Amino acid sequence: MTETAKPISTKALIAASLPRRYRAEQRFRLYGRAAILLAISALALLLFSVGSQGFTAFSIYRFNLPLQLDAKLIDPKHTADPKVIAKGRYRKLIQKALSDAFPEVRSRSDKRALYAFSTGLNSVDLRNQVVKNPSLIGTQIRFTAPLSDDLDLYLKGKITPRKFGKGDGTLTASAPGPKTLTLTGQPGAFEALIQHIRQKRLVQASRLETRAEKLRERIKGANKEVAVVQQTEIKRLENLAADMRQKAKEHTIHLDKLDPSILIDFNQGFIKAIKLSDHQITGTPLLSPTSLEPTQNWQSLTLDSPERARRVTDKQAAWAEALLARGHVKRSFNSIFFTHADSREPELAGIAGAMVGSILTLMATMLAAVPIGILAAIYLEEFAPKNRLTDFIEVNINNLAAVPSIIFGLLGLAVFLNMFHMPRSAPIVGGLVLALMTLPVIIIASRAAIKAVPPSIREAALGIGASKTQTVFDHVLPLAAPGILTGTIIGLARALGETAPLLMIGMVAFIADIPKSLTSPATAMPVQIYLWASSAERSWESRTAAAIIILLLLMIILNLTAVFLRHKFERRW
Amino acid sequence: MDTSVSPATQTTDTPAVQQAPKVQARKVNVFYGNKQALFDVNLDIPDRSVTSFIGPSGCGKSTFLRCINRMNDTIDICRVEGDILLDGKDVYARDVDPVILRASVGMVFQKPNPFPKSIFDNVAYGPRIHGLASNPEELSEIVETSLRRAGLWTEVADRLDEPGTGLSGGQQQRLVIARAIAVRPEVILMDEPCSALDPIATARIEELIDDLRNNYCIIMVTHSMAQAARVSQHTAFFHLGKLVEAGPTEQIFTNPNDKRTQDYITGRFG
Amino acid sequence: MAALVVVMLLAWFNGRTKAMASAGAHPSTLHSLPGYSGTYLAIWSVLPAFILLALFGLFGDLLLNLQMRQNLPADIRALPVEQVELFMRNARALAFGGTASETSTALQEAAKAYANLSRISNFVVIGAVILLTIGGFLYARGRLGKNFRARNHVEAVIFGVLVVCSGIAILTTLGIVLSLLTESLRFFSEINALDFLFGLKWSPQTALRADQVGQSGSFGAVPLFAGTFLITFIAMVVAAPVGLYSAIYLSEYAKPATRRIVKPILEILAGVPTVVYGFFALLTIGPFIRHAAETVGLSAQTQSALSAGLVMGIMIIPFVSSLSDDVINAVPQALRDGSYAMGATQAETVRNVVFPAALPGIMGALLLAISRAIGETMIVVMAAGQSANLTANPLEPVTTVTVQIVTLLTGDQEFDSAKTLSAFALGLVLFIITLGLNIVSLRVVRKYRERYD
Repeated sequence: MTETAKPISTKALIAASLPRRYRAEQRFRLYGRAAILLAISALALLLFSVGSQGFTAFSIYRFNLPLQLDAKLIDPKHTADPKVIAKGRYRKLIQKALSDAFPEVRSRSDKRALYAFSTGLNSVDLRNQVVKNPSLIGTQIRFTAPLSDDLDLYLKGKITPRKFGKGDGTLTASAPGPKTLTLTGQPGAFEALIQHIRQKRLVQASRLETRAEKLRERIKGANKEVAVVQQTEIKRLENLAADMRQKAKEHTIHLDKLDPSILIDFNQGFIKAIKLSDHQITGTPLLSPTSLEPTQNWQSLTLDSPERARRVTDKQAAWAEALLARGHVKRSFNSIFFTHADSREPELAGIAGAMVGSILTLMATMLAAVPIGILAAIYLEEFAPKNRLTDFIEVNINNLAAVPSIIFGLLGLAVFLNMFHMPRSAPIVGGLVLALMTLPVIIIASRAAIKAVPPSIREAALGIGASKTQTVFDHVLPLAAPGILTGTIIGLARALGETAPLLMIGMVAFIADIPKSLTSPATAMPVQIYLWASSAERSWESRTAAAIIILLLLMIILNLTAVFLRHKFERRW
Repeated sequence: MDTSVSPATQTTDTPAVQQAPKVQARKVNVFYGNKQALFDVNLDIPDRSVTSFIGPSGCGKSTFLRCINRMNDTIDICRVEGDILLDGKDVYARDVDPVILRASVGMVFQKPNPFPKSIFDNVAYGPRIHGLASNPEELSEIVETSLRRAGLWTEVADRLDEPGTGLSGGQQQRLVIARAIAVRPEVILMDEPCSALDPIATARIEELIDDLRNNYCIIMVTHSMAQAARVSQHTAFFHLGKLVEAGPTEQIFTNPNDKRTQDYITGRFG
Repeated sequence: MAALVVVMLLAWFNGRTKAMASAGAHPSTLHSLPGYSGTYLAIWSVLPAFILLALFGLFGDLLLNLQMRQNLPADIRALPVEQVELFMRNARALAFGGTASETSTALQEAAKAYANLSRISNFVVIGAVILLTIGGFLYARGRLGKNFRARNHVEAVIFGVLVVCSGIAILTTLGIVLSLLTESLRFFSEINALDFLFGLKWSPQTALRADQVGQSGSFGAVPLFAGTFLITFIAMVVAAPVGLYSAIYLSEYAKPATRRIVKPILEILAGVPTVVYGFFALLTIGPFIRHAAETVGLSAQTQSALSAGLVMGIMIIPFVSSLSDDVINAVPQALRDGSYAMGATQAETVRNVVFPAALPGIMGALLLAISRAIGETMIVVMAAGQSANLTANPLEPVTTVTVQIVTLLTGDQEFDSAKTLSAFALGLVLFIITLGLNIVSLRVVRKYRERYD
């Protein structure tokens, strides 16, 4: 027999293959781990990027200024008529309060830049205060309102980081001209700033060089005409880079428009540096110092992004810093976000409107889907004869559960809006559409829960003379209730996060009021998120993320409730 | 604890066994979590013969069988103590690789479990994963020999490409045996190989087992005493996790030493 | 509504009392519990009236509209359909104290007539409701008595309600099919169906004025199908291996404790609203891809097929993994044992035995995932772009069927234009494709389950 002679060689063969096979085993295991790790880290990245963005929107910078409620601008004839008072020039009053904070701001353009600290809509708030309490007219009040979104972003360091450098030694000032100021410190006082500028210039230069290099690579295969055009571009880039490198060697730095801005905080004023040497700075005051006394108490503020590349000018930055230093601007909890509806101005926009809209919509969904879903499940599980029709219903329900949600939106549009002329953008319509969508989920979950009730319960009830209906409603249903509830909550949580069908029935409108009824125009949280996410301005980003955080929290609460219920009432038969 | 019998010595004393035992168990204890399934099993199993394990269900005979090729490794909570020696070498020793061990100790299960592949691929499965064939011709040769040895060749020679799951129960079981033979094992474990088959298929398998014993050490768990008596040369009786008695089949069935064996064989319990 | 509830309660108590009274001192002689008599009475008092109210609420408006249209002055009826619609809308707005976009005497009159008509119909309905309530109450009350089988009657009603409720699922499907079909047929009466299915150019904007050049717009949907396919493909390239390997690892390798933790975490991915994924794609993945592409010298935009596909792939991972996990767990242990007993390593067993055995089920799971990806809307709306680009370059923005449905129906829209109708045609295509995939995959998965049960 051949086999009997072979075992040794078989073993040897296998042993020889073993290392390779165990490596394959390790690799396979690694793929599995990597896949799970990938999925989990994708989730972590998602949560982190949303969380880190949204976190900043929960606080906001507010200004708080003394404001003279000048009767001349509100009610010049002292009529005390609420209608007249309502028409007062409140925007002007707020602008005056801002001007009063910086009396030296004179020119029109500067004033416009200063007024940009407060959105025009803040005047509505002021008007409401005065209309409610007309006795305030003629007095001075403290007016608090959110800082406009750009300055809010600036102070949060999201436009460009605010880098402060503590001043070293005494700084003396002299004014060689009307609009210039020279600050002299001890030798080496500004060395760090100079180094910073030099390094920035070198980085800039190498960036230009890489761009030129890439262009050069690209024209290798291109035809001649293109090459000629690109050649000049390459030349230009290289010249710019060489220039930059040259400028990085300057002994005394002359700051230009491509350089970071350097502001010196000196005696409550801000001086923007133009010429920078080892111990001396020449610059223009953005905000005049209160005195030219020498002081040890100074600091530098470096804004890396050049002034023309950002939405906040150096002057506005100086004013914002000054207001912050004076205590007229403070960071506090962003209550507006939780009490207001949508707004054109990010700083006045809130999630409350969408939240109420979502709650109303979900209520409509619940009222429609839960009873129908449970009753349908009862019928299918307890009463339905096994025939073609019920089979068809079953297949139908399973397929409906997998129909894309946007199709339900189309159904809502065609049936509820165009056929029954229900109001557009109304929570009732949104609720009904979502109800049709969640119905299969609820039916499937409820059927599973009912099926889990052991037949012995039914037999016992039927045995003591209860009718089939009584058995189901008095005995089976209560026992299946926790399971049904869990499935229902999960279905509703999904409905809460659904966007596409609501877009179809017009819940995407801009709605600045908190909806009051099931038929008033409303939007829902996911739709609000979609709307904000499509807005271009930076400050919407953090608010979108904040809205997402709240939506996710709501969904987590719903799901945890479901998990809790399941654990609390879980019964094993 | 019964100490009147020392099955290991019992077996070695019998004149039927001349050469060194193929498989030896020394004080084997097996635990599932906190539950002990086998107690101090000592047993010698000779080569080139069929050894049957009999006993009431839950007595530990299958557990012991699965220790021999370390199939119990796949169960997390299972723990094995004591030594099981294959050709004098402990299979649970650290340097023994379960892959090599299982290649030389094949196993056939209660329910035929052909893979969802063609008949050919089923038999070629082992040689392929172990790299036993260096070229396709060699592989076909191994498949053919194995199928011939399992007595299946004539029935499936013309439909090797059809799925193995399409065969009848008895054919499937022979296919599984062919699959086990294909890696040229020295020992073949069979866990109630005929319990899912009809009498005719059973008879064919029994014939096959009788054939195979010329080349392999076959260890078989069975709940049919008649089968044990028909097929095996040696029999071991397990009861409540203990090895009660082991010896030549004739002796166990005609003249058992232990009262419990006697009771079991005469059908008083089990 | 509130009145109906009050009537219902009154009827219930009345019925109960009457039943008790009829039984005299021995309530047990009643056939049914007194509560059932109450319910019976309540149902008869309220249900007919309620049905009437519901019908009126649903179709009253429709009837009113029809009636109004017939009474419109001839010159207005002669106007094109859209203008008549507008006129009607304005009249309705005026009649109910809203603001109309224009006013004219004809409109004023129509509004007055409208208001009148609606008042009359309201009176009629309220009268009918009261009559029905009283009639139902009296009829039912007359039937109550000691031997009256109130319970059986009540149960018959309950049974009816149950049947109606389970019929709603069919009604929904029917509603979807009918609404998509009718609107699509109207679309295909204007645009050739073949041009729609095989046309290469998609620019649905219709001109504002009729004399503008190229006002008809072109409705070749191939670029949309291509975009949908590209994004779905990218999503599956991400989700299929990650989901499958996760499922394999979780079901074959992971310890129960790991499994208990990891499975819910993966399922969170399925629970995150799609709009959040869209934001994630827009804010994080899109810019990241652009930067990455630029550093290797490729041009890319923030909105691209790749970013939408990647994020959608992440979303779909749990669908693939949990369905495959179920399928893999259904593979009988005997097959694994057989393989281990041959000396196969775990990886060899999974690859050569478990995976082929689970393959049909896994295919079903993948098909379901594909159908999910095709129908997904928000991620692509936010991350893929709007331009109908016929390209295979994943770094370019593409558009999909769902994106176009959203864009066509969320802007300013006039109903009945080919532009809006085309959204329904797209919806029909989407519905047919996803339905087909669902039916096939559900069948495959079920067949598979039966095989190993």
